[in-house]
Formats: sequence, structure tokens, C-alpha cells
Amino acid sequence: MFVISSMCMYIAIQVRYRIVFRVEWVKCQKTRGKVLGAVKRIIAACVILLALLDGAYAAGEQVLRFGMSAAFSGPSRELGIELYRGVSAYFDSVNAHGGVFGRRLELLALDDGYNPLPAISNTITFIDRDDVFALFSYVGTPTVTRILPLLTKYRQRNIPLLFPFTGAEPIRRPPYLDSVYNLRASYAQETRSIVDRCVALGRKRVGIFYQADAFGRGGWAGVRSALKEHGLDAVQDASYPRGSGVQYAYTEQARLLHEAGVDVVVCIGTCASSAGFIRDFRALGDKALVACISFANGDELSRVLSAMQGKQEAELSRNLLLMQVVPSYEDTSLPAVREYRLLMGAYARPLPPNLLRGNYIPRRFSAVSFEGYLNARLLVELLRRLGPEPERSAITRAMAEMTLLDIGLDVPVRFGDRQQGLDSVYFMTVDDGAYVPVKDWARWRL
Amino acid sequence: MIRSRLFRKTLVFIVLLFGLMANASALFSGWLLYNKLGEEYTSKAVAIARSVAHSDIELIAKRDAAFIQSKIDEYLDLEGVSYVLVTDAEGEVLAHTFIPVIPDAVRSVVEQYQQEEGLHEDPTVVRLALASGDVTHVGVPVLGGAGGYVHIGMDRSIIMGYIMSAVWKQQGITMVVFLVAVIIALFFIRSISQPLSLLTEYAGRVARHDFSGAVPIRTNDEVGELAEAMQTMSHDLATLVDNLEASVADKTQELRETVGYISAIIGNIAEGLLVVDTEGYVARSNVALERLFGCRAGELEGRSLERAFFFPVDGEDGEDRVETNRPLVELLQQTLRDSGSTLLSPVELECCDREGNCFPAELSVVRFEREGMATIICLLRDVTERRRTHDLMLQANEHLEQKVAERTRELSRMNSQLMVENAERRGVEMALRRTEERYRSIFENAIEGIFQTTPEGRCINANPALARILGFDSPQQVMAEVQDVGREIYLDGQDRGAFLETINRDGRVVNFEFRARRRDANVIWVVTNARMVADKDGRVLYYEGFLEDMTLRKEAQERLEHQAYHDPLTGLPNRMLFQDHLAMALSRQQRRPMYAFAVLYLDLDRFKVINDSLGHAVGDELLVHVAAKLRECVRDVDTVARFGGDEFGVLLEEIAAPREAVRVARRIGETLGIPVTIEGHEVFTSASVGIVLKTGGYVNPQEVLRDADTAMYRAKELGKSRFKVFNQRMHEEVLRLMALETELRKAVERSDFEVNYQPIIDLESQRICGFEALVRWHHESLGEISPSEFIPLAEDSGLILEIGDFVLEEAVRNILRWNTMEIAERGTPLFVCINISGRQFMQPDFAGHVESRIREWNINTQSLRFEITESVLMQHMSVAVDTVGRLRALGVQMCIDDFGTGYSSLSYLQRLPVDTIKIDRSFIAQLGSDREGRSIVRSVLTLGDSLGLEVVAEGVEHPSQESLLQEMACRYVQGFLYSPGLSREAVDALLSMENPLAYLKMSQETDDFKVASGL
Repeated sequence: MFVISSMCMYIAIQVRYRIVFRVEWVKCQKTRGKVLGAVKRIIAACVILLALLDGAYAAGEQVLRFGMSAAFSGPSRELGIELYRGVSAYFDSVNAHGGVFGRRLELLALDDGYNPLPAISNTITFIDRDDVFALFSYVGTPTVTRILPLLTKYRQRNIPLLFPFTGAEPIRRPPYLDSVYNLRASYAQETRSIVDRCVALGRKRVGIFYQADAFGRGGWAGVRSALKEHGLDAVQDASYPRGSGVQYAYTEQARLLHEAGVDVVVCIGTCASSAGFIRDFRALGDKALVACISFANGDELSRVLSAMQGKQEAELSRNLLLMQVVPSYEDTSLPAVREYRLLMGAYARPLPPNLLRGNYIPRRFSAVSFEGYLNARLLVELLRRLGPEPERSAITRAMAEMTLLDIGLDVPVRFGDRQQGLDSVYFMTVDDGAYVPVKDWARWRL
Repeated sequence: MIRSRLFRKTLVFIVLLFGLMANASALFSGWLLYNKLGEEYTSKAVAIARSVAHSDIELIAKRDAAFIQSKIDEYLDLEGVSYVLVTDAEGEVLAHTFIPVIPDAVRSVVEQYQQEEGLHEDPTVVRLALASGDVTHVGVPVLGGAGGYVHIGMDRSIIMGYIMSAVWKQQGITMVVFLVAVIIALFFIRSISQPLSLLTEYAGRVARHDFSGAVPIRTNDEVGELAEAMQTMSHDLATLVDNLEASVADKTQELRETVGYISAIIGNIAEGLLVVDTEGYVARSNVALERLFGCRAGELEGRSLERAFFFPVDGEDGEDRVETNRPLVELLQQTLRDSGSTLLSPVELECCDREGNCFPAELSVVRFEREGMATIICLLRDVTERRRTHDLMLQANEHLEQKVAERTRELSRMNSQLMVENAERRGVEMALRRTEERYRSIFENAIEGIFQTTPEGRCINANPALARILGFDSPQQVMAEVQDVGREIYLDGQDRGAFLETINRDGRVVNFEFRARRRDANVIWVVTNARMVADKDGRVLYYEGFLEDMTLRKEAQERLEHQAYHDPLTGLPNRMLFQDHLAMALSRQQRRPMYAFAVLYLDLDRFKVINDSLGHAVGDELLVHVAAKLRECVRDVDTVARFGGDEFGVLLEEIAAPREAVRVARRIGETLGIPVTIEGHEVFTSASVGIVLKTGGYVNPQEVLRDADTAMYRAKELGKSRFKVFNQRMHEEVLRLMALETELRKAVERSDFEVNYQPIIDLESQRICGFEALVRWHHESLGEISPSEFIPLAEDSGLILEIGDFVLEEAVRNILRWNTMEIAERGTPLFVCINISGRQFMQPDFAGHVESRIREWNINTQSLRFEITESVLMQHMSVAVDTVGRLRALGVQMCIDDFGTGYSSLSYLQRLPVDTIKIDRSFIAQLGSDREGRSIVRSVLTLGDSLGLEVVAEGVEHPSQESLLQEMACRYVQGFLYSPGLSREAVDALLSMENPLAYLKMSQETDDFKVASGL
């Protein structure tokens, strides 16, 4: 009954809006060209409004909701915002083509500011109030590690956490094997790659700059265990408190590492704190290689540093090794990159007003939104495999069947019995102010 | 501040003791707190460490750094936890919360643990000094050390912070308490010491004989009492000292004055004074003495008597002396020696002065003794002059006796002259008295009262008439008893005031009327003429004038006034007075918004019937009865008036609520509903009452009465013996009717009416035999207005006469035309029935009016029928008989309309010479359904037949009615079954048909007359 009535309403509204639309259009034709731009914008707004109304009126069984708790404010907000943009662009494109088996995809996003407690309350909201199909594209290790017990709590409902934006180890281990699936490589893999590469370059005095929380500790442990395989240990480590922005003074950490005479500093930190550290570290005249893991969002980091460069003598962008777990979005040879760039042009939309705090100018393309896009693409693939009546209990099987899945990258996605789809890491650096993949390793050989 | 040295030491001692105690207690409690909290925090650290160690054994064992970190991060939120560090069994750090690095002190302690041999479960507690502050470091082994260690640092600075804050708070509170105590003590001491020092100061001042000040101590304690006592004492002291000093000064002054006084006396007495001491020396002499003896001033003093009064021979002050004054000296010496006598009687002796001139002197000597010493005081007087004066007096006495004898002679002569004059005067007096008696007779016998009163109101003269008018026995009584006419005679003091004002201004008062109080307290109306009598200087002496009793005249006048404003029959106020009262009520209401009143308008039901049937005497009696009952139903302040006929008005003043008026109306209804026996007839009456409650909006009384009248009419319409409150709807109805009346007036001016004609069918000959003329008014904006609506209005406004004329003229003109047509066509004339309203019928000389019209138009009156309703004829029976007779004489046929609806009696049918009766449509309507209706119709038909009257059945609407009527042999019918009222043109068309009736029937069946007729 309800379905029929809502469909009738939907049709009625569509018809009405189309009439309005046509009338507007006819009027437009009569007005002068100068006004056309504005009118186009109005029409675009109407289209979006229609889409929103469609969404609202097609609610009920026809919608699959996904909850995303991420940092939309604070020093790490770029991660949340860009990831959201990537996901929503792909969702919009899928919805525009009729959804998955006729179901629209809806991304519900809430801000946790990179803090565990809001993340927990957001998760409870998603599960209890919004009845999401899955938790999706969460951001941050301290937040994600703290919501994992909730998954145990809601075990009966089989709520999965899909493709969070973190490389932390705990979520790749028992007891969350059935409920958490990752797309990206782990921090351990990133740090191992960095250590292996640095040792190969002859840089064996490794220092660790890390965030004083689970995220930092995970990376810290990853670096140390990688070093241990080479019979080495970190010569010095230094932590900093979570939530510290660019303005925080990292001089103590920089001094400790500098005085230990490190060849390499592995930064396990956010974009803002890594940038602040590099500033203070370089201020001591140290030219050691600084390697930042993917969470630091090298793309943004390089821009923050070059913005700071104007103020400072030292060349901050030199001797940087910036990690990515997805290929460069400039690599248009990849089909995924091509589609991502196309969709970002066509569907990228501003943040919903409840998440927008302060002024933020979105990036046209970014590694993070690319990862969001890839997350969404993999999610849609998973939904397609679940069939017209998706059951959460079937996710484990469906994920296990993804053994060699091509999502347009240079490597296939491989889950099988694993919790992680990709293992590749990509080394990036800044050459002449440009954020590019590392080509020349020789310059860092000792 | 503390001037009293008494309390200073005590205060200092208390302050020191208090400070010592406060510090000691703070230190002691701080020490206790430190120990207690230290233990507390250590045990807290152990508990936390154990909880980490036990709950996360698995994680530690797995060396899952990220998870361990996420666990231990949570503990940082606990209060006092400074850091958490987890190592594995080998001592390798798995996770910690230090930023940026683990301090060396902690690292060394951690390493120390590692060196311990064997497994153990006990926590180790160490106190460490770190850069961030002291901590209590607690290490707890996991699985006895095989699983690693959990280290927790508790921040001791928090403990110290607590202690310090506790100590500070304690000290703070102590300090506040202490300060308050000190302030209170200071005030206390001040309140004791200040009066004391004031007292001390005061005592010092009193000691210095300074009594001027006072001690400003008013406390109710011992100090206060002391101060008061001291003050009283010092006041007494001051008074005593002052008195003493004053009396000393007084006495001194007195003494000084006495001395001066005595010196002056001594110096200035005419007698010579001589004081001689015991030794016989002159102690003192005065100037008079020295002059008597021709000595220089002070020459005598200090000399012996002999030396003093035995003057030297040569005048110089030598030793050779003449014993000139020996008697004097001897007398004095004698006296001095003679101790017995104190006062000697004056002695005359011869004395000589220095020059040897002798003179007689009188001497008084007093001797008195003081402390054994005798002193003589002697006064010495020259008596030469006294002796000479005595001689002169003897001469004067002799001369006086001569003069007296001469005067006595002259007096006896004048006496005899006076006696002659007296006899003459008595003769004149007799003549005067006779004249006065003549005037007094007029005064005594006058009919008017004559009076003389003083301006103060005392009656100084009155004649018997005045006494009689005022009810006194005699004029003397009037004069004796009336002290103030203004109070005792005048009923209203203001009248006296007016009287005095006029007479003082004009000198006279003419025809001054006032009410006077007789001695027997009856009040009478009097009129007075008076004038003022004044003396030469214009001072009012008295008023005199005439007084006349005019009570009878006044009563007659009042009776006339009453008659003008009252109904002679019932004695109630009439409409004029009622409106007067109503106007007063309205103006009162405007002044006082809280004042409310109501107006009731009563009309007796069926009064006319009673009047007509039982006679006017009974009617009048009934009215009197009703008036009395009405007065009983209302309060004294309310006004009950008769407006004439059987209409009454009641003005209820000062009503508290509208329901009060309704209650009165109900009471009136009940009271009047009780039957009353008048002249042997039991009379039933009742009243319809209209009430106006909301009197706020009215300005003039006529409006109120009009609306009350309206309400009363509405009550009558609703059925008799009711009351109805005037409301807005009635008001609107009235307004609407007024508007309609205006419209009607315009319509009459413009002849906006139209006359329709409803055919009357002769069933016997099956043809149209006549028409009933029906007036129609089509208003341009209000549309068709029903005659039932505008005809009564026209009757009320008198416009019916003009409308009637219009209809008459219109109908007559048309019937003339149609008859020429009809007679030419079919040979039988048609008639037209014209409705005559009651007002029209009753207009004076209606018959004459019709006659002149008929003459004017020159018509055959046979074709004219007037329809008059039964009720109109009934109401005006006597006039009706006459008018109907005259109209019939003119040849106009008369028809009784609505026959059977009124109180028809057969007798009036007999008395009224009518030609036709019309059975009311209500009976026709009941024909089909009702047996009674049928029998009424039948009996009317029979009646008509037997009286030789034509009977028309009107309102025939149904073929079944027609057939029934035909059965009953009713010949004439009229109704919608045949045709509604038709316009002139339609009738023209109809009559030009071959068979109009057949056409009518046909068109009624098809309901399409107009179409068929081509109109």
C-alpha cells in the first residue's frame, strides 16, 4: 500500500516538476543570453532538487544506506571531505544510472573530528537510527580501533565495516575478520616498504616520529619489526600528541631525532603534524630523508609545505618520501583513473551543510578522493555480487569470491581468505614543487 | 583605634594564640592528607596497572602495539595517571604514553625490573622525580613477569596540589573567621572602652568646673547608668554653684544699693542728720545740717559736740567759743548718757547758726546701743516756715464760709422755676398717647400679620394676625418665644438668606413666598412684603412688613400642576412626566456609567374587548386596578405611568442586573394574570410587555419608548401575555422596515406598482367572470416584494391610501377596457375585485371618496367589487355598516374576504349588506385531507346560498379541490389551478382568445402560458 502510494506521489511530483522545468526552459529561451548562465545554474539546482526529492520519495525498501564517520573538522578534515567527495561522486553516478538492482545508494556522513568518542556515538546512530547496510569508509586508526567492539556488540546484525581509511593492524586481525574488510595496504606494509627501501639505499639509522596513540604506535611497531628483520632497531623515536596541528611546536621531537643523527625519519602522523615536524626538523639544518605514510596525505602535505616554504629559508619539500596506497591520479593509463577523473568532473558535489564547517575549497582531484572512488567502486561490485536482495550474512562469501577482481588498477583486487584487497604501495615525492612518483632513487643513496 | 590600654594586651595575646593554633592545625591536616592521598594514589596506580595487566594479557602476549596503545590511552584520562608503559617479558617497550620519549629515570627503573630474578606478583612502588614533577611509579608484572610488565606513573604533583589547596582553603577560612572575630572584638572593645574614655574625659572637665558638656553615652548597661548618674550629679553641682554665686552677687549688689540709697537719703533729706558716738563726738552729719548751722561740708565730723556747736567768736576756727547751742548739746549729751530711753519725742528748741541767726528747730533723737556702745541719731528740722503757714490757713477758712451762704440762696430760686415747666410737659404727653392708640387699633385688627424683626431674627413687634397665622396665642407670645425667625419660622434657612439678601440690597421685599413653620409644626405657605428701617446713619434698626397665609392658593396651584402631569383616572404620571423622568435617567446614565435602568412598555391584552363588552366604567375600573397593581410590583423610586388607553410605561431606576427588570416584568405578568372582580364581573386580563434593557446607546427618551413599543408589539405578535426584551434583531428589523418604508414612499411617488389580475372562474358557465386586482411591487434592487410585507407597512405609514387609489384607478381603467371588449365579444360584463385595507376603509368618508372617483371615471359600478377582510369589518362594525351601505348604494358590490378566519358571527352577516363572501384559502387547502375543512366549506356554501350571497372559493390549486367544490355546488373559484395573477397585457391577450378558460386550463397543464400566449 505504502509503496504504491509513494510511487504515485513520486510520479505526480516528477510530472509536476517536469512541467515546471519545461516552463522554466521555455522562459529561458526567451531571455537574453546573459541570463542564460544563471538560468542554467537554476536548472542544475532543480535537477539536484529533483534528484534529492526522487531519493526522498523513493525511500523505503528502495534505498541502501551506508554510514560514514570521518573527520570533517579539525586538522585532518581534508581526509574526511575528500574521501566523501570520491565516494559520493561514484554513488551519484551509480544512482544516476538506476542504482544497484534498482536500489539507490545513500551515503550518510557524520563528523567525528578524528576523536574516538564521537566516532562511537556516530556509529551507534548509524546502526540504531539509520539502519545502515554497512559502515563504510571510516577515517582514522584511533577512531576505527575504538568502534571495533561495537561490531562485536551488534554481532547479531552482522554490521560490516567496509574499507576504512586506515592501515592499522588490529582491524586486519582476529577477532574482526568477518566484519572488517580493507581495500588499502596496511601501515605495516607501508613501513616495511619504507624500511626495506631505505636499508637498500644504505640508510640504516632510522628515526621514528609518531603520533602518541594507537595509530602512531601501530606504525612505530611496524617500523621496528621491519628493522628487526634487518637486525636493526630505531635509533631514536619521538611522539607527539594527537590533534596537534601545523602550529604546534615540534622542536623537541626534531631536536631528539636530529641529535641522534638519523638518516631517515619515518613519520607516522597526520598531514598537519608531519608538515609541522618537517618544518622544525629542517629548521635544524638536517637533510635526512623524511618518509611519510599514506595517512599523511602526501598530496596535501606537499602543498602545505610549499605554502610554508615562502616563509622559511630551508627547502622543506626536499628529501621527502611520501607514501600512497593507490596509484597516482595523474596516471591516466589506468582505466580507474580515467573513470575517476570523469566522474569527479560530472558528479562531484559540495558537502552537505551539516558537515561543512568553515571555509574549504575542495580539490579537483586528490589521492584521497581517488581512494574514496575506489572504495565506492569496490562496494558497488560487492553489492552487485550480493544480488537483488542483499543480505549482510552473504558478504563474507561474496568477499571471499573476489580473488582476482579488476577494478581498473594496475593490480587486481584480491581478497579470498584475506581481509585486505590491495597490497601495493606507491612512493611519491616532490620534485621541483610537483607531486610525482619517485623515479630517481640514486640521489638518496648513502 | 584602641585607645583603651585595658584590652590591648588581651587582644594581642588572643591573636598570637589563634595564629599558632591555625598554623598547627593546617600543618597537621596537610600531613594527614599527604599520607592518605599518597597511599590512595599508590593503590589506585596498582589497581590500574593490575587491570591493564589482567585484562590485556592476550594483547601483551601478542605484542599488538597498536591495540595496547589504544587501551593504555584510555587510562590517561584517569585522574592522576601521568603515564602508562607496557613492556614485554624481555623488557622491550611495547607501548607507552610519553611524549616525545621515555624519560631516562623511567627507563632505568623499567630496566631494573627486568633484572629481577624469578616470577613474582607483587607490585613495586618507586618514587621518581621527573622533569614534569614527582611521580609514584608502580610496576606490575603480567603473568608474574613472564608476560611483561605494566608500569604506571601517578602524578604526585596532583597530591601536592590537593594538599596545598586544602591547606590554603583551611587557612583561608581560618583567616576569614579570625578576621571576623578580630573585627567583632574590636567593635566590642570599642563599645566598652569608648564610653569609659568619654566618661574619664567628662569627669576631668567636671573637676575643672566645666559643666557645659554632656556625655554622649546612651547604652543600657552599667556604663550607661554611671554616665547618667555622673551627668545628673554634675548638673546638680553646676546648679548649686551657680545659685551660690548668683546669691552672693545679689547680696553684694543689694548691699551696695542700700548703702548708696542710704547715703543718698542722708545726703538729700531736708532735715539735718547728726550721728553722735559714745564718746560724744560727731560721727556723721549731712549737708542739710551743715547748711542749717552754716558750716562747711565735713566741718562738723570728728569734733566733740561742744567743739562742733559752740561756734568760735571771730568766725575763725579758734578756741574761744560762744555757748550758743547749749540746749542742743546738753540734750544730746543727756540722751547719750541716759541708757534707759531709746526714742525721744520730738522736742522744739531754739538753735543758732554760725552767724548767730537763731531759728526754731524740731529735734528727734534716737539712741541705740550696739555691743555696749551707745550711738545717737538725731534729726533736726527748721520749723520757721511751718509756723507761718499755720497762720495763713486760719485766714482762708473764714473766707470760704462766706461764699457758701451766698450759693444756697441762688439754688432755691431756680427750683421753683423748674416746677412750672414740668406741669406744661405733662399736658403734651397726654395728646401724644391718644394718637398712638388710634394707630395701634389698626395694627391690632389687621388681617395680614404685621411684624417687626431685628436683623438677627428676633421678633420685636407682632400683631394678633401674625400670631394667628403662625399659630401663637398672642403677639406677646410671638415676641417672647421667637428668638430667630430664620430658624424657627422659616422652614428652609435658605429662604431667610434670600429674604435678607434682597431686603438689604433693595431696602424692600415684595411678594416673597416661602414655607413657614407654625407653632404646631404644620407647614404653611406664606407671602411677605417688607421694608428695611434704618436710622440716620444707615444702620439697620429693624425690618417691618406684612405676612399673608397663601397655603390654600399654593395648594390649588400644585393641584393644577399635578393634573397637567398626571393621568386623572389612575393618578399615575402621564406620558409627559414619564418622558421627563426618562430623560433624567438618561442624563444620569451619562454622568454615571454604572447607573442602569430599564423601561417596560405594557399594553393590556383584550382591553378593547372588555371595554366594548362590559362598558367603559368597568374598563376604567380595570385601568385603576392595573395601575394599583403595577405600583405594587415596583419600588417607590420607579416610575409607573399611563400613556393613555391601555398602555402603561414603567421606568425601573437603578437596577443592578438586567434580570431584575425581567423579574419585574414576570411579576407584573403574574400579578395582572390574577382575575379581578369588577362590578360583579370577573375580568380576566393580561399584559404584553416590551422591555428595553440596554439603554446605553440612547440619547432621547422617545427612542427608548419607541423601541420598548416595538418590543411590546413583538411580544403581542408572539402571543398575548408575554414579555419581550428589545434586542438588536428587532432594532435591525425596525431599521429594515424604516428603509423599506422609505423605498415604499419613493415607489408611491414614482408609481412603481403594478396591478395583476387573477381570473375568477364561473364553474357553472365555464368562463372567466371577473378578476381580482392584486398589487405588485417590483423594486429595482430588492426585487419582488411580497404584498404581505409592504401592505402592513403601507397601512402603518398611511401610504395605503395612495396605493389604494392607484390600484383603484388602474383596475377601473382596465376593467372598462376589457368590458367593452368582452361585451362586444361575449355579451357578459366582467367584474374586478379590489382589496380594501382596513386603514383605507376607515379613512373618513371613504364612500364619498370612492363616489367622486366613480364620477370622475364614469364607470359602471356593477363591474366593481370591494373586498374587505372579515377582521376589518369586525373591528369597526358600526362604521363598517354605514360605509358598506353607502358603497352599495353607489352600486359597488361588497365582498368579505378571508371569510371564516375571524370571529365571524352570523349576526354581523345579517347586519352587513354584502354581496359576496370569499372562503379563505386555508379551508380550501384542507378540503382534500380534512373532513372538518370540508364541512366548513360546505356550511359556508350553504350559508351563502341561504342568504343569497355569492360564494367564491379562493386558493384552488388542485383539480381534486375543484371537483369537490363542484360537488358542493360552489360556483365561483379562483386559484393557481386556473391562473396566477396576470399582467394587463396577459389579460389583454387572454381575453382576445376564443375560449380563454380552455386556454388557461391548457396552458396551466403545460405550465406554459406565456410561451403559448406569445408574451
